Amino acid sequence: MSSPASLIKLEGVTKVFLTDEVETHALSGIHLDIRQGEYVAIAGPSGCGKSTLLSILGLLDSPTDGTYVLNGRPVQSLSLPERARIRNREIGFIFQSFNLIGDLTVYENVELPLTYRGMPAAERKAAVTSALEKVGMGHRAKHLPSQLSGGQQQRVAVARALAGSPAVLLADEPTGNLDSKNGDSVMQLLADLHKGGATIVMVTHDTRFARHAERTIHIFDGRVVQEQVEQH
Amino acid sequence: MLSDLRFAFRQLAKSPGFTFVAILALALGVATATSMFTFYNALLLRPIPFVTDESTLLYLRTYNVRQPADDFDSSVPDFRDIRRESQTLSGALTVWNRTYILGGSERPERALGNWITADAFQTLGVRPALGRLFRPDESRPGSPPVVILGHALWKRSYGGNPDLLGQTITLNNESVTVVGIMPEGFAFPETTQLWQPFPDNEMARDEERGSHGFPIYARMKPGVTLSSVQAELDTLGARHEAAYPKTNTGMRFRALLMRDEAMREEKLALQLMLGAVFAVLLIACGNVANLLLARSSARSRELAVRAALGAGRGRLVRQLLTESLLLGVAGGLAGFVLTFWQIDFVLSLIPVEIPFWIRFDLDWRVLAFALAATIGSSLLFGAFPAIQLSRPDLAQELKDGARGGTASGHGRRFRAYLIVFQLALTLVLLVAAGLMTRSFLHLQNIDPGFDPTGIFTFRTGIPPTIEKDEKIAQKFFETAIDRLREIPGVEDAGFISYLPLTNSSNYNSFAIAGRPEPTPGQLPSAIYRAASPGVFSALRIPLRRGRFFDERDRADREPVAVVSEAFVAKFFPHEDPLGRRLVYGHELEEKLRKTVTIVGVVGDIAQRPTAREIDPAVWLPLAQKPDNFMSAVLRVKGEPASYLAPAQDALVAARAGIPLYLPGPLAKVASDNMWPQRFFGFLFIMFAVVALFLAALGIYGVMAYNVAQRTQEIGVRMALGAEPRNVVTMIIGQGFRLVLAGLALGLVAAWFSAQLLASLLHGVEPHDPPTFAFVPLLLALVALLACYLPSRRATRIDPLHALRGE
Ligand SMILES: Nc1ncnc2c1ncn2[C@@H]1O[C@H](COP(=O)(O)OP(=O)(O)O)[C@@H](O)[C@H]1O
Ligand SMILES: [Mg+2]
Repeated sequence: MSSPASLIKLEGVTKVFLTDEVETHALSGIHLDIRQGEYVAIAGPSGCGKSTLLSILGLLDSPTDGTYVLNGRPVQSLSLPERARIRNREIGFIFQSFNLIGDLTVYENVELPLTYRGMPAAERKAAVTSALEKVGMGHRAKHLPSQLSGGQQQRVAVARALAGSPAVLLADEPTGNLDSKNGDSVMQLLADLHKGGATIVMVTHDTRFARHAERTIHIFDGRVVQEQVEQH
Repeated sequence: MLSDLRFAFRQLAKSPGFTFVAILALALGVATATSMFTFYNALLLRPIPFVTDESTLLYLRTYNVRQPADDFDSSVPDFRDIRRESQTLSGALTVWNRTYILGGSERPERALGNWITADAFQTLGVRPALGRLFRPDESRPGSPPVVILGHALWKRSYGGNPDLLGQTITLNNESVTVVGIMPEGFAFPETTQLWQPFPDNEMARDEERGSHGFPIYARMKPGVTLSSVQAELDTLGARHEAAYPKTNTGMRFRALLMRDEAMREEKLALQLMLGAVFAVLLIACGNVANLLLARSSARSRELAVRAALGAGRGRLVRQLLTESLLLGVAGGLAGFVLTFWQIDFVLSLIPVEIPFWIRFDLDWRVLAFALAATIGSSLLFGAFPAIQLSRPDLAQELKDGARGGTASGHGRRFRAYLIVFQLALTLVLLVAAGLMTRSFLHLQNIDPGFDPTGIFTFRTGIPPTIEKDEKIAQKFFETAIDRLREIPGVEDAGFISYLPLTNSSNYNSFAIAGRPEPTPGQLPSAIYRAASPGVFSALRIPLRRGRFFDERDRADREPVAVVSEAFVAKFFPHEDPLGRRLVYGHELEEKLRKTVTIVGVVGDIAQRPTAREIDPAVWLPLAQKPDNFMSAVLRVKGEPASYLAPAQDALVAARAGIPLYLPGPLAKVASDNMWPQRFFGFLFIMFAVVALFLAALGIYGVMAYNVAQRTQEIGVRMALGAEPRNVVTMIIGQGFRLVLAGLALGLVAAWFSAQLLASLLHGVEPHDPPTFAFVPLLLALVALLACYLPSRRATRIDPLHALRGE
């Protein structure tokens, strides 16, 4: 089996937060290699650095030290507008608390990242419609987020993340605010997307959900302590 | 209650930025409103001091039924008849202004005084501070001359010496006994502080029924209404018309309350301004309300906790209103301090002596107004946020973390309405200010028809009491011209009866010889001014046809006149005016008439600084039309003001003991005469600037708050790839929708309210296109800037930080 190209490559990434003269070593010497089409879970106890790792992957934050190569391009020290552009094109975010924009309809929420890249309206329409179909929310396009249940909101958030066909979907505890039934169905949705070829990196503190992934990286106190490959 | 206050203090101290901006906005609003009210109060509300029962004091005017809008002073015979025949008036008085020379020095002081009917002060109800009023017999010819002095004049020129009573002083070279000193602050009318009894023989002159130069003040009998006085005056007018058709055809009398008359011109401007000021105050309140609302969601959590702990709604409202009142009181106090400064500043814009009864010091009305403005505004701006804050959605606020979407606050729409309203009011004020400014600039740029720069001017003359012989008075001017010309640097010198670009002028009616006999009361009239030949060259007035005056036009030669182009256009549009003759005193008997022959046509000059059109004018040579007092015009090299001392010397050389008064560069005299335009224009600009500042503050506050409140949403957008420019565009776009709504509403309001300004504007249409184009643009730009700053701040939001807030 020929291994697909490396999509994300972290080498020696550390992250140090300075607050009130106290240094918090959120990440220490992380090496990570994620290939195209992989579904990786990042697990570990609360406060171990999962979210920090994910935001570095998502270019919301930059490492204190180390290198990050995304799609063959070093990205650890780019300007703000360049990082915004990469976030917009290469990365799809799914947040624990959905973070849909309350004043925008479901359709407009999904469309939002596409408008930032200046995609023509017709193309946008096709992409939004197809993304909403994929998550089974096509019939709710005109609704406002407040008119949806939590599970439905998270499906819309997933549609927003994948509408622009990003290189990778980053999900930080996507089921954290959902009951178990809704949580399961969102997990199923991600699994389906993975089967369809999507690269997914998901943070969870609940190892039950990690079984959906092909590979689970356990983090403790800012270090990778164990890598575990699921057998399917 | 005390704990409410303590807590309110703590809350305000906790956010000093908010507190400062709120107090500043309020202070500006209260100060502007209070200083404007001070003017309004001084001019329209405050009782006229010293005078008893102002509500029965009238001012009577004469008008011609053909032009009822123009009214003017009355004639002495008409005054006499009204006083004698009226059943509704208990008294009437009139004055005749006179120039007095005080003392007998070489360079004497000059004071404006008047002849006043002997019982005038009794009619007004004013008592002297020292001495007595006039006795009836003191107006009889031959009775020893007496004078009553005003307090300030007494202090200034006579050292306030109480022994002056009963002593004689020299007035116009005559020894006059001082019989009374009037109370401090009193003058009548307007600023005059020297009174002599109106001589009976002057009062008895019958031939002057057509000469309207005497203001009539009158007192209504108790229980009489203004309309019954008017009815009686109408009857009287009709009777005079029948009896004296030559002078009184179409002439009627009009009764006005004294105050209304005095403030007729300014009343509208003042009322508009008071309206403008309430708009400013409302804007300030809107700002503070907005800021308070903006803080509301930051505090809704606190209030929800309080409510959950069992605080009733009334309790919460009280807490919030305590904070508002605290802000209001602080803003009010700061505003009151600002008021003093503002009033001083505005008063410095009035270069002339103001009438005695206008006093700008604070009285209970101003204090009450300031207090009401402060408390009223704090309740107003406190009410909305208090009501909104006092019913927070408990469940929503206390539920932790569960935010399905980003917040869309219910207060947002209300804040938007406030801002739109505020921007609209600001636009109305800015348009008014713009129109007033354009009008003022127009007046300043009017081509006066002559060159006012480099001219030094003053007024001088010999009172008739000093020199009965007109020829000698006139000789004085001729000698003076010669002396003045000898001053090094003086290029040209002349005398003119009234300076152009001032508000004084003399109109006279005439008949044109060779034209059909005019119907009585329909004689044409024109400005009537005397001048020496040097005036034309000094002022650089161009000759169009014929000739200027010259040495030929002596008193004993054929009387001549020079007319203006406007005169020719009006009265000789298709004829050659040269050689035609004008008859003055046409309505009088033959021997009193004066016929002049037109020998030249000169360019027009502007007599009044605010003239919408140039009035036709007739010029007569000084030598043929003697006047006691005239204005000198000297074309000089260098700074005109520096010619005062040499001019004084030249006058003494011409004749010692003659006063020189009202000296100054002509350009300054003219611009001083435009003070009402400048004054009102400036006030409007001041209000507009304050309003603009407040509007900018308001929209900034709203947008900054919006950004703060939407931190999380903006963070999400940035996480999804919004670049800084996307964020800036979004925030400005949202702000700008408010601005556009405000501009649209404001334009409609300004369109209608501009009409109210029409009568105050000169050379500018109320719907002046440049103003209506530029002013909204200016407001839009300022608003844009006010939106830009918060939008910059939005781009500095760290999406990570914003999202972690969850
Ligand atoms: N912006 C920050 N400033 C200071 N410390 C931070 C910041 N973000 C995260 N941390 C600290 O870094 C560590 C890792 O946090 P995080 O990545 O959020 O953990 P996890 O998502 O695994 O619960 C924690 O100790 C947290 O307190
Ligand atoms: Mg986390």
